[in-house]
Amino acid sequence: MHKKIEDAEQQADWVPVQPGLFTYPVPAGKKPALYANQCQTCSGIYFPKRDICPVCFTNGDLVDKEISGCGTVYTSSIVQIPSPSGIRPPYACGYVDMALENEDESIRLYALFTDPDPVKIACGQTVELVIDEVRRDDHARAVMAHVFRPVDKD
Amino acid sequence: MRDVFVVGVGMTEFGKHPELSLRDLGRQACRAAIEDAGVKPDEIEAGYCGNALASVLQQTTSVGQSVFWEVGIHKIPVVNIENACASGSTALHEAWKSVAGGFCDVAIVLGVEKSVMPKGTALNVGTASLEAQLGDIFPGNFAMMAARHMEEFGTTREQMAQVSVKNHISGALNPYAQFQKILSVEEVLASPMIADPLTLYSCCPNSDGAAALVICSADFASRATSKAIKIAASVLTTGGYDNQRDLTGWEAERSAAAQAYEIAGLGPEDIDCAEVHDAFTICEIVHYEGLGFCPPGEGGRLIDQGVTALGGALPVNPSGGLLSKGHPVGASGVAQIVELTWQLRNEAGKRQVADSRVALAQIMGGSQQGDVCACTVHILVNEQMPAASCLS
Ligand SMILES: [Zn+2]
Repeated sequence: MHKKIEDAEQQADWVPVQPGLFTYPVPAGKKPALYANQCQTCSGIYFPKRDICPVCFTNGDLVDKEISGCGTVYTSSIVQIPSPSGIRPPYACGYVDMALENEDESIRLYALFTDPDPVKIACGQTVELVIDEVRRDDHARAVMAHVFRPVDKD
Repeated sequence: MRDVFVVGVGMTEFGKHPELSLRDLGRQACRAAIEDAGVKPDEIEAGYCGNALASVLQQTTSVGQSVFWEVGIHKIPVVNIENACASGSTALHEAWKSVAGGFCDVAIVLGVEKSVMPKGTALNVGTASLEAQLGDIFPGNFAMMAARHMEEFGTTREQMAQVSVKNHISGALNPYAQFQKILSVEEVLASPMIADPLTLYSCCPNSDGAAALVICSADFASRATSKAIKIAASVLTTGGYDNQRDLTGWEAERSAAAQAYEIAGLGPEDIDCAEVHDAFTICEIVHYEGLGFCPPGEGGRLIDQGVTALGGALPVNPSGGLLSKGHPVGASGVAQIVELTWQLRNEAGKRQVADSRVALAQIMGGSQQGDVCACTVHILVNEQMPAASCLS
C-alpha cells in the first residue's frame, strides 16, 4: 500500500507544497482558491485549516471557507539570497490582506509573488491569488503553492 | 519571591573561532564568571544552558552538562534550554525563578553557540513550517517589517543605516566585539542587498561565542567579592500569532516590557542604558517603540536625535549590539547581561555609559506566522548607587 502511494507520487510531475491547502489543477470554471476555516464563536479565520480553534478550544464550531480572488499588498520585500528551502533569488515575498469569499473578514497571508518587481508589489497594490510553481524538488517535480500575481491596472 | 543578584559575569570574544569547540567556548565563559563571582564550583547548586543550534549544526545535545563538567560543576540539576535567539535569556529567566523561588541560592547561566557557517551558506534554522517552505527567511521577514514601517511612519533607509553606524562605533570600543570597524551610512547602504531594504551591513553576522553569569540570593551576594547587581525584573513572553496582526511591532515585546516595568517599579524614563535585539537595523528602531523609549512610529526620529548613541540620553547597545559585537545565537541574551553588569559596575572601559544605575535587556527569537516565538525583558539595578531623583 505504502509502495503504491510512493509510485503514484513519483509519477506525477508536480507536488503541492503541503497537502490540503488547495485543489490543483484548478477545476474548470473555478478560480484558484485556498481552503481555510472560521470559528463561528470568535470569528477567527485559520489558514491552513485547524482542527481546533486556539482561541475557543472548540472544534465543533469550525466551518470551511475559501479564500480566492484579489487582495491588497500589506508589505513586501525582494530577497537576494537563496532560501534554505530552495527558493531561488531574486524572489519577492510579502503579506497580502485577503477577504474570505463573499465576506468582509480578512486574513493577512504570507506568500511569494510571481514577479520580483518592486513597483507592482508595493504596499497597497492589488494582487491576485494563483497556484504556481515555486521551486523544483529533489525528483525535479514542480512544487506548487499559492502565489500572488500583480494585477495590471488599466 | 526573593531578590536575585548577578555576582559573576564572563564571556569570550565573539567572532570566528573555528579552532574552539562548544566546550572550549563554554568553559572560558564559565570560568571567567565563576572567578569574577569569587565562588567555588561546588557552591553552585543549579546550571542552566541556553543553546539554539547545536542539535542541528554540531549534531550534539546536552551541551550544558558537558560544559559545566569542564569547570567542575556536576551532580546538580542542569537544564538545557532552546528558545531560538532568546535561548540564553530564557536560561537566565529559569535560573532567576529557581533562586527567586528559594529552590537554590546560587545558579550558573551559560549561553553558548557556534553558528559561523562556511562562506556562502545560509544558516538553516529549519524549513518545516509552511512559511519557511515558501522562502520566509529572517532577513526577508524583517525586511517586510521595515517596508511597512517605512510606509506607515516614513522611516527612512538612512535612519535604519544609522543604527548600524551607531552600533559599529560602540563595537569598535569593545574588545569582545566581532567587528572593530567603523562604517558610514553610505557604506551600509552600498553593501550588497540581502532583502530590500536591508543590506549586508544591516544584518548581524553569524558568530561563535559564549557568555556566562553567576546569580544568587541576597544572603549569598553579601559574601561575594564583586559588586552585586540586582535583577529587578525577569519576564518571558510568547507570540499571539494573530493572522491579522500589525507587523510594525510585537505585542509580545510591549507586554514583556509593561510587565517588567511594573515588577521593577520603574518606567522607560528610568533606564540609563539598554541592550536590545538588533539582529537587523529595523529591529532596534522597533524596539525603541516596543520598550517605550519613544511613541510608536517615532523610532527613526530617536536615532536621528542621537538619543541612543554613546553620549546620548539613553545609549542603546553600548556593547556594539548584535550588529557589531556578533550574534552567537544562544549566547547573545546572556552576553547582554554581561555587558549591562559591566556598565552598572562602571567597568565598561571606553564604552562606559556615565552614571548608569538602571539597565534594560531585551531579546527575542523564533518566527511563527510572522510573529515572534519568545521575548524576554530583564531590568538590572545597581542598588549601591543612589537613584537619580535623590541626586537632583
Ligand atoms: Zn474561536
